[in-house]
Amino acid sequence: MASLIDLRRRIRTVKNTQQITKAMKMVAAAKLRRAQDQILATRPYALELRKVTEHLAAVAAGEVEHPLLTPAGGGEDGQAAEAGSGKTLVLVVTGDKGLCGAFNAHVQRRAEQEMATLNGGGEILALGNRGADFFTHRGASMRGARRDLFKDLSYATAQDLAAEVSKAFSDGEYDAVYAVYNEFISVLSQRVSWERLLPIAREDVVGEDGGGAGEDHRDYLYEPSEAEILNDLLPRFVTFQIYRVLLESQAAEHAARMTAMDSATKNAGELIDTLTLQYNRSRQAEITTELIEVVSGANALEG
Amino acid sequence: MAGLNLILVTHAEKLLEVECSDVGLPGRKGDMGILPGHAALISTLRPGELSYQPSDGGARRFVAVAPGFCEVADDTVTVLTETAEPAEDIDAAAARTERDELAAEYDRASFEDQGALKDRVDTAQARVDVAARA
Repeated sequence: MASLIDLRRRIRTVKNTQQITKAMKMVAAAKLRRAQDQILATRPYALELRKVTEHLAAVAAGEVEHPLLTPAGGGEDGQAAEAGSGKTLVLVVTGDKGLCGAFNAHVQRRAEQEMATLNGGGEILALGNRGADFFTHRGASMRGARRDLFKDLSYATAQDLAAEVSKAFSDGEYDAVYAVYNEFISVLSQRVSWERLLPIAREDVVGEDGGGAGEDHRDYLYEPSEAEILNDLLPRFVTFQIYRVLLESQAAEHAARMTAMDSATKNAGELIDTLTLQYNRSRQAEITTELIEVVSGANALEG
Repeated sequence: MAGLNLILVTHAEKLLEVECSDVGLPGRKGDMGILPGHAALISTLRPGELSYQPSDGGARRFVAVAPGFCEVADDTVTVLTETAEPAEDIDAAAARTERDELAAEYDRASFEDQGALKDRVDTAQARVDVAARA
């Protein structure tokens, strides 16, 4: 049986750890609130962007050809692969840090699964330190990695990424660009999501059957032309998608860390209870033994 | 007479939602003045100066905007832009330094890179111009 001093020492370490996990939980909660606010703040922009794109796409649907858009007519994945390299770029969004439960592992596993099913091979662009380390270590075929992405995540980060990705895509390096990331559902749950970023599906911008066609047929003036506006708008659409993915993942990461740290704190509490019980028991046992010794010693003297 | 409703949205926030009697927009092909009763319009915007006259009186207000879009319909002007800053929020000196730095970078850049930098230089210039209005 462990000695009393050992037990006391263990209890103290567990208590220290518990304080750290408790603090981390609180920090994660504060950061989560900020991340959620950031997501909410993008909603009006998202709504307006969607509205304008839908109007435009409904009007200009058939005539617009843009490198970032699926070809007119076809629209389904198969046809896109006519002249391209056949390769796929996968953006794997993980966190910069661990200690957040299975958050990073889930994304990594999903990324590996999807990579295995890709025809023509794929390359990974790892966003976040965790994924970067993981895939470098595994020797996966990578385009590159971005580290310390979430330290100060801003729209400019997304703009840089979108510029690089769109360029590689339009240059024909890749046939498609996908993103794997943790979607923020609620504080208690995240869902790993596999989403195509490029080419932009016509249905995405046009909406269900021809988009805004049903609602109103106002005659808009377009300046410059519909096609030119749409050309200007699509790259922004991509940037915004990437920005949204990064924000979602950031919020999900904080949520995951909060939950993980909460259960770590609870576990530490249970451990402390068990250890304390054990400590008290051995202390009492020791006292009892000592008493018996004293009493039997006294008896021996008297006798 | 009915006024215009101006909504200015960036990716980070809804910056403005005000009643005003007219709006000036920096269209890609030239400046536009929007008055109540304007025909429905969708246009791209270049980096520049957005101005509006609030309905509740007071001085004309100016906002520096980055490239974006606007939609005019039913006397509502919706402006989407990546960044937007009201004149009074801009630090004129900092804006000038930023503009000079970007301009220098632009001069050094190769022809291809200049294309990408152009909007940023123009946005910086717009901030300087608008700051002078405050």
